[in-house]
Amino acid sequence: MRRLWRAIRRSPSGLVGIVLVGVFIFTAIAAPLLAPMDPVAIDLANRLGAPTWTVEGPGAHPLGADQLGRDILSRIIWGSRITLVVAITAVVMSGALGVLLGLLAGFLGGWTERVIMRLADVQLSIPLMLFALLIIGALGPSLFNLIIVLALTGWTRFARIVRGETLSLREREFVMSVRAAGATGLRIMLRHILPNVMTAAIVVATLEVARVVILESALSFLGMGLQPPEASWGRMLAEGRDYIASAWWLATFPGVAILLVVLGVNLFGDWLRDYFDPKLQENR
Amino acid sequence: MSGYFAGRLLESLVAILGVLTIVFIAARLTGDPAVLLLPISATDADIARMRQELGLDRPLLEQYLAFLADVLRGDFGVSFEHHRPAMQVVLERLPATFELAGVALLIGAAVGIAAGLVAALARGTVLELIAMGVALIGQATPIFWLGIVLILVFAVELQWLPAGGRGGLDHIILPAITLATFTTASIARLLRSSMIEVLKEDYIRTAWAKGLVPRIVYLRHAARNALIPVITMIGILAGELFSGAVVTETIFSWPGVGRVVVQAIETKDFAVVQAGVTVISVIFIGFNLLVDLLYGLVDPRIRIAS
Repeated sequence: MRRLWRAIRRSPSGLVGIVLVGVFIFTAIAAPLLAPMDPVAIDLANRLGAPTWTVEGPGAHPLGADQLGRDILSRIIWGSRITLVVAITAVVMSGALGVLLGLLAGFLGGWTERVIMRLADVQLSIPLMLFALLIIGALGPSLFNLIIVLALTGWTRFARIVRGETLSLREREFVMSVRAAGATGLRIMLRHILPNVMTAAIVVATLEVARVVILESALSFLGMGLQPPEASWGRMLAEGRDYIASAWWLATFPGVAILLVVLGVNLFGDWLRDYFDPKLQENR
Repeated sequence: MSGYFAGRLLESLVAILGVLTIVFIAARLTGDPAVLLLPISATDADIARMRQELGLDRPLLEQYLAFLADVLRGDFGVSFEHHRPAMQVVLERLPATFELAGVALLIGAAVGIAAGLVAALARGTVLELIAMGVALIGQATPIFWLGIVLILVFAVELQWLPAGGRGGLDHIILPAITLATFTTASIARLLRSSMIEVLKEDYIRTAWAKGLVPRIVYLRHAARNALIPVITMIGILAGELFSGAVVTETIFSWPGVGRVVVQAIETKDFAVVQAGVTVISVIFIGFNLLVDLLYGLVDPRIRIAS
């Protein structure tokens, strides 16, 4: 615990990352308490109302109102829930798949390894966004399909890292000794190798969250993600694009929200990697 | 040597076959093409006849082989929307995408290398802090949002540049900057850290000891070696560029492959989606093959290791 605290204090950028991620998660959990208004309440009298935030106070719509008079701040706060749920579900799914395949590839070797790593190569041969469009185009846009796409595009990174770690662990003394003691392959894999590859997998998972947030908002922006009236940040941006000349606040604030979350997750992920794996740390 | 080349070539061919398989499976997931093609009033007999005509009643393996044979001839079927072969629709748009991605890659390489070197050489100064701060934010900025903000500032407010379309030199500035941002930031960050590592090497100390001037040490001895990881990353960045091009083209109404694929999804014109995904992926695979081959020529360690 003390080592953790020291590591946080030594890295200002890591601290920024932790704070941003913390605020994001807190906002998502406490959305009903934090949001000043109902995010889907339509108020046509207040269409495209300008931000009311001045030195005197926040006013009724601190960040303005959208084309249906809905409060933008409340929509951003509720939208953080969707972003968080989609990101975590997708990363957990791709992580589980990737760790499993990486373990099998590294531990069994031979044909299993060749097939799995070749599959990863094929997956990486299709630029991400085009793969997403292909699958969404085939299955149709929905929250479920979006998560499937995000999970399918993410497993390769986990598999590659976990395979590499497994290959080196397989030859270590402690694995040799449990093998000599008569442990089965499955038991060695799950009880002795899996716990040791988890730190690497967690670091990859953190950095994957950033990628998923960007891709999810990009797909929602293209109309391939969540369908209205849900308040998703990418969707809000897409709708705001039509009012860019008259009401800049519609598209600007959701974009800032995405930027801050991705920046925070990236900084946190970099810090986590340095913390768990001092070998990778830069000498300062 | 030739073994390394042959191996990489074979891997690329397997990757292309894999991409085609995914495209084939995706096409089957869209539902029954016979039902989609016929009016709602069609009877079961009509559907059965249509299925027979399209070859959908034959075994899946046979359909797959027929699909591969068509693709080898460049035939992805006819676009419902454009009433022309889907492949033709995609190939027409390819130059626009190349132009955009090429200019963005040039901007990214030039600005990214400059910023990375400055940050590495100005360690501990405000200059490094600014360069790396901007790069971090650049990596976190969603490009569709950046595109909108650039349009708002430079096209709507200042009215310096057009907001979209393809035309003269002024049309490409905003989309190219939008697309280049992520590449620039990634190159700058990677080059900075690899430059810092290289500057600790013994051969740099030797170069200093020989009394060489800083310009020679930094550029000829250090930067050359620090650029190797950057070159390796260009293959990955090409994929990011093609992905980003889809979004950038949509925002700026740039008539490229990405935009035509997005439009094709909206109109359920799946032949164009298949052709677009395949063409871009094959180019991407070819590009990576080229990078690896050049890399093998430059770096003898790779040839020997294989």
